[in-house]
Amino acid sequence: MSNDLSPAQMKAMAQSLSDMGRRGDTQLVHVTPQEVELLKKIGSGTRNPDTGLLEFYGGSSWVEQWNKSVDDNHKINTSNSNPNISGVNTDGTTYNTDTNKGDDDFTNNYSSINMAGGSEAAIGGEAGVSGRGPLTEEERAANRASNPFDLDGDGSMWTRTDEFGATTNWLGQQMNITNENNSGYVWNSMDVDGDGSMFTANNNSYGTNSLVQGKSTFSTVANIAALVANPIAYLGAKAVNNYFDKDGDGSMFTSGGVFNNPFSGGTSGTKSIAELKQDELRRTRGGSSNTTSNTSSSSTNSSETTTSETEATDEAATYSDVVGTFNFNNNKFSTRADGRTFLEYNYTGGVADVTGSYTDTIKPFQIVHSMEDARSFAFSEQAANAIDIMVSQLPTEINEKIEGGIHTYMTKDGNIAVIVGTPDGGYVEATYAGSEDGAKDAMNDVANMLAYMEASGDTKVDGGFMGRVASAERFMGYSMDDLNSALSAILSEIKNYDADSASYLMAMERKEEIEREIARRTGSVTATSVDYSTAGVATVISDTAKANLTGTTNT
Amino acid sequence: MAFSAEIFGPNTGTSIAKRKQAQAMGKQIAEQGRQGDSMMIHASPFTIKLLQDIGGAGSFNPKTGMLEFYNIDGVMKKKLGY
Repeated sequence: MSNDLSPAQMKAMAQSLSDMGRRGDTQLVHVTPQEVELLKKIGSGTRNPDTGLLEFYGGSSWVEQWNKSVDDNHKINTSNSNPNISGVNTDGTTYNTDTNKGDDDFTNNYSSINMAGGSEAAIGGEAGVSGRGPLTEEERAANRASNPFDLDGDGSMWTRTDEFGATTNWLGQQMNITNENNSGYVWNSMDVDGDGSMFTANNNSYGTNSLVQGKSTFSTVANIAALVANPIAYLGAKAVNNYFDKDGDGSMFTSGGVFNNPFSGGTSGTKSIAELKQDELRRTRGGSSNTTSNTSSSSTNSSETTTSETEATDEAATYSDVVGTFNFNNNKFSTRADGRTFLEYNYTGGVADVTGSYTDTIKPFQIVHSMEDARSFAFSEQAANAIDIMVSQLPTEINEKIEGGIHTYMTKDGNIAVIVGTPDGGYVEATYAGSEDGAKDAMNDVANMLAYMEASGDTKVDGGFMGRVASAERFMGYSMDDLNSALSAILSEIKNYDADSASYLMAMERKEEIEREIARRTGSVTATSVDYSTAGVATVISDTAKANLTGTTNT
Repeated sequence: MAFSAEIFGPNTGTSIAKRKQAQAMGKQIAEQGRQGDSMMIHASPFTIKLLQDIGGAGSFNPKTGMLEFYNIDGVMKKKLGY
C-alpha cells in the first residue's frame, strides 16, 4: 500500500497526522516498543482520539508537573539540575539523601513515582493525587467499630489506605481524596480524581476516573421519555393497515415496495409482489400490465407460454437481485419514520413527564413534521443522512443485522428530539438543545450508540437500546464478578440506612444501576424495554446535573 | 475507558470516517520505521528531549520526514559486531 505513495505524499501524510497532536504534542515520531513502555511509566500514554496513536503530552518537565500536583511535603527536590538524580519513595516523599542519589536509572525513579500514586492524570498535571493521609491506630479502630466491613479502618469499606496515607479503591486504583469523595460510599470510591463525581474526570477533561472518561454518552440529554403504543390508536391503526395490506408487505400504502393508494380503487393494490414484478417486466417490454387482458388477447400455445414464463422468471430473479442489492438491510433499520407514526403512542415515565418539550398534551405532538417547516425538514434529512453514512461504515456483519430505528426531529419549541426504538416495542425520546452544539451532541450520541453496536454486536435498536448503551458505557471494564460483589456489598450497606433516607435512596439507585447492567449482560428481557432506557438515561442526566452543580459550587 | 473511546476515542467532533482514515495512515507511516522503530507516537518537545537523553537516534526518517528514536547504541554495537 505504501508503494503506491510517492516520498512526498508519504511525508505530507505524516505531517498531516503530526498536526493532529494535542495538548502540546507537536511532533509525530518513530519509536521502539521499549521506548513506549518507558514513556508509559512517565507520560500520559493516552490515545489521541483522532489518530488512535499513543500520545505523551506534557509541555513542562515531569518534575514540574508532579510538583504542581502534590502538596509541599511531597515535592521533589529539584536543586540538582538533573531531575533524575533526586528520587521519590513509594509514599511520595523524596529521598535527597538516599544512597540512590546520583543514580541515573530513569526506570527506577519513574517507577517509584507511579507507585507513589502518580496516576497518569497527576503526571500529566491534570489532577493531584493525595490519599487520606496517615491514620492512627485509634482512628482505624473507631472506623472499624462503626463499620465492620471497613477492614483497614480508613473510613470506607471500599478503599484501603496504607501506612503512608496513600489510598486505593476496591479496583486497585490510586485515589485522590478530596472533600467531595471523602465518604464511605461505594460511588465515592470510584471517583478516583476526587472531582465529586465518578462519571466525570477532572471536570469532563480527558482524565483517569474509574468509569467514564470525557463526556459520556447522553450526558447532554435534556429530557428523556418513553413512547408506548396507545392501545386504541396503535392497534386500531394496525387493524386498518392489516385489512388493506393485501399483499402483506407490511404497509397498506405499498405493494411490493411500490407506493399504491388502497383507496383509489386501483387493482394493483390487491396484487401480490410476484404479480407486480411480472407487471413491471411487461411494462419494460412495452406490454400491458393487465395480466388477464393480456393473456386473453394473445394467441399463444403452451410452449410459448412456458418460454415466456421462464424468461419472465429469469428476469424476475435478476430484478430481485438488483432490488436485493439496493434494498439495504431489508428495511429492518430506519432513520426516516414519518413523524405522524408517533401519534399512535403515549408518553410515559422518564425525566420529563410532560414538562419541557412535552407541551400541551401527553402525546408527542411537539414533533415538527417534515411538511410543516423547511428548517425542520432540512435538519431531519441531514441527520438521517449522517446516520445512514455512519451505519454504512459499520462492518457488513453488523449493518446487515440492524433492526429498529433512530429518528431525528425538531420539536415545536425548537429543541432536537432523537427517537429510538421499534414500532412494536415502543420508542424512547431524548431531547437535546436546539442549537448547533445540541445537534452535534445528538449526533455524537448516535455515533456512540453505533460504536456500542459495533463493539458489542448488539444490533437490536429497540426501546431498551439507549439504556443498554448507557449501561455498557458506565460499567466498561467491570467483570461480572465485580458487579456481583458490588451488588452484594451495596445490599449489605443498604441495611444500615433508614428507608427513604437520602443515603438509602442513593444506595438503591446504585443497586438498580448494577442490576440493570447485569440484566444487559445476561440478555434479560427487561433490558429491551423502554423503561430500561428511561431509567438508564435518566441516571446519566441526573449524575451530569449533580456534577455540574458540584462544579458550580466549587467555582 | 468508555467503550466508544476505545474504538473511536472520546467525542471530538471529528467524524468516524476521518478518525479511521487517520488510524490507517498512522499504521502505514509506522511501517516505514527502521532499526526497530515500529510505532508512531505523538510527542511534546519534552518527550522528544527525553527520548534523545535515553539514547534515541533523533535523526529524521528518510521516508516520512519524521523524527526517529531507535536505540543508537544498539545499532552501533550491532554494526561493530558486539
